[in-house]
Amino acid sequence: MKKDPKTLKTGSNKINSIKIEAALIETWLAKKSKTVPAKNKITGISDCPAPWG
Amino acid sequence: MEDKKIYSNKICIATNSSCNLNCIYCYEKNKNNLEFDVDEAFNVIDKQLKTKTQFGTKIKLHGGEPFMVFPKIKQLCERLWANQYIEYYHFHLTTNGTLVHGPIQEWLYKNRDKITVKLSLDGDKKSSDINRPLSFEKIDITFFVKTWPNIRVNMTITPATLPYLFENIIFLHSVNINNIISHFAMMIDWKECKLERILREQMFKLADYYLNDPSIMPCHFFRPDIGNTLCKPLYNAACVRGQGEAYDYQTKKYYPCFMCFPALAGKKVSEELCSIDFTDTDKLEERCCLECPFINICPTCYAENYITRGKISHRDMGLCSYHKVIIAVLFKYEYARLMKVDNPDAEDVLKMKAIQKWGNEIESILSELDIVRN
Repeated sequence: MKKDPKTLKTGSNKINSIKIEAALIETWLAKKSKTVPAKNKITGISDCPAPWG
Repeated sequence: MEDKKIYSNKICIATNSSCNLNCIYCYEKNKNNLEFDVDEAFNVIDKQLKTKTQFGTKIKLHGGEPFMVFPKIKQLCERLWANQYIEYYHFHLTTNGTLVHGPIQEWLYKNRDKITVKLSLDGDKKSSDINRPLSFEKIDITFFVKTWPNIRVNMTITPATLPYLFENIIFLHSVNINNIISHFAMMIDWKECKLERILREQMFKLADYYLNDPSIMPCHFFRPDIGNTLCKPLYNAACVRGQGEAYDYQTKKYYPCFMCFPALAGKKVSEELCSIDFTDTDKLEERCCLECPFINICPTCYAENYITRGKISHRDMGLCSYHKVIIAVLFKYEYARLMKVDNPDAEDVLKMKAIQKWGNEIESILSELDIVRN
């Protein structure tokens, strides 16, 4: 169930204290990496980056 | 119900430049009371719709505030809808919302499956009053959310409202707006503002918020696919780049996009923009940007680059440090999120590889803000 944004406190993740750790990434990739297919996105016309686009 | 759909073709029809507001960041400096001609617009669109494309045509009606000329828009749409076209098409327009009441609401609701509105709303009342005074109370937010449950909202950030970024995003989520396209206002000297540290704090708060509730769709700053930083530069187009067409009723001509209209760019600059080959990728970017690891997820408007700085490749470098802060927090957010994912998909794996590749740069970007200060 979605939480009410008004009552939701900034959580305990405290992302500013999280450091990117190379060793953890290597472990993650080794455990969870599968054969990755080539990117095959359906692409139509691009979106406009201007705020009013 | 129309959502973010893929289109094969896009045509932008200018309807008017008049507006009932006076937003502090508005780029339309040459407002007047001229309006489009319905017959002319009909003929322009009718010609386009006689050819069938794979994904259909997006028809953008571009103001000013388009609902200043609602009777004409209604007339144009209904005339086209009365015809049978082999091409799929859908109308889009952006509105400040302040005029959308009564008969306009009734008409939009009735035709909500054929026309999609994007709402310009810069956050809560406090920030709205800063950017566009006397507007907030006139917007019936409930109507927009009811009519298009996944409505896209343009939230423009100015130096005065950036310190309230987190509370503005939270406010929008609290009124069930979850498709938030957050942008920095253009044509502002952001470098002088020195707000990068405040932006970092605001982005950290947002990242924590979204990590705590993955059911909420994050705002636009958290949506770029960081896996694209593993691809060669300019792997995907930063913008339409002349692939669409924009018709200006004031000059009765076509332009690469609405930013090239003479009323916006000026007559001389408009002519110069029209002569540029936007498909020549060698001219699109400066070397410093091509060598940046994050170019594939860093937005720019080539027309605005030319209008403001004289070359399509001259990005607003005053915004560079701000974009880097956003990208760095995005990487951290993805790192924290992916560490909790049990069954990542192929896209997740590429994202983690991107974090592996650029991790040191990311930590430097975020820690350098403190070094400069000290």
